[in-house]
Amino acid sequence: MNCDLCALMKGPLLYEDASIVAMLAPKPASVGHVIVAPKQHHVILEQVPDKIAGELFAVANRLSIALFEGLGVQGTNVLVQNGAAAGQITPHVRLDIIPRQENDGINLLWQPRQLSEEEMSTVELRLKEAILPLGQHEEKKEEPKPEKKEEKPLKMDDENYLIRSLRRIP
Amino acid sequence: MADELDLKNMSPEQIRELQKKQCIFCRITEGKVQAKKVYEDEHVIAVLDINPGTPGHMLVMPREHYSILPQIPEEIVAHLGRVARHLSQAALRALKAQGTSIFAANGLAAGQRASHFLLHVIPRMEGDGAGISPPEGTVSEKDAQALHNSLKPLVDRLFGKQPSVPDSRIEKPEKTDQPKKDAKSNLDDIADFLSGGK
Repeated sequence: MNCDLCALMKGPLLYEDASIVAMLAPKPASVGHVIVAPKQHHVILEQVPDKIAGELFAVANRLSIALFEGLGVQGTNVLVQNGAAAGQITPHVRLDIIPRQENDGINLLWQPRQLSEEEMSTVELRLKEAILPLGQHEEKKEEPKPEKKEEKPLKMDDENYLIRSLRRIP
Repeated sequence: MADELDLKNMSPEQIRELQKKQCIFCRITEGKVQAKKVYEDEHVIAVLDINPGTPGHMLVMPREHYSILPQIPEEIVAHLGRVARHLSQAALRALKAQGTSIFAANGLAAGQRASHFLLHVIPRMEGDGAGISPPEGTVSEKDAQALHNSLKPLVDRLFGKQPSVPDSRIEKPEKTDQPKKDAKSNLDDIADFLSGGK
């Protein structure tokens, strides 16, 4: 399969586990722009198993912390461009972490709109009908994980100063 | 309203309580302010954005008040991601969206406007003009390698010695978790700023 992102996985990786990889973006929007992606080739987020979608964001969060701490950035954007209509350019699900500084000239914000009350209510109704409780279908299908106990869960580690300080509530 | 001096003398718990009182999204999660709620569970709720980028623009937020993603317990971060995927799926199905932009801003410099962390799920159509596409820059191989080398040890440390697969299953966040009194990181400043603290 000819996938740019699958090819990138052969290069230097910032992070790798059984299902997720992360690397520096080859065409960075800013210094330290990181791509996080499922190892398996899925095109859109809806094809990614529920559990791995969660891991994608958890891993992205830690990498975002690394950018705050390591590069002293003033902010980060987390973005999934899901589908060509959303500007997706690689046919492989990816999450971008874009380091930000004041006045860096990057504009990712949209133009807010004002919809009529009727339009808002129609959208609300349609969405509510389509949104089932999370995991209603998927969790039943989840395979048992016998090796789970051996794995150290990705949890906040008391010995890790960086993580600990980040948990502090301002 | 507390002035700066008061904030300095307040405990983290008191400051958090104050932030909650002043936060419109906390009042939405508590049901004290009306919103078009499309999803809720024990940990997060999702409402329609009143000034949407496109019709169906949803805001997914933790029930607890956190300013930025790095402050949110990892189990909840994973859950936010799973819920966003779930809502994205609904947008494709129910609104016939051709895609979704899933977006979060951490910090004012990133365009964050609210002091409560929000994950945006924005339904997309070809030519909708909503944008949300990062520019593509260039970097020399040498600079990329140097940056990789400098970030790698920190990333390794943040993931512990043995990189492992996070468990996305939700555990109840510990209410008894005591805030740590470590030196401030720039993250705390970024969060404080958003909260109107300084």
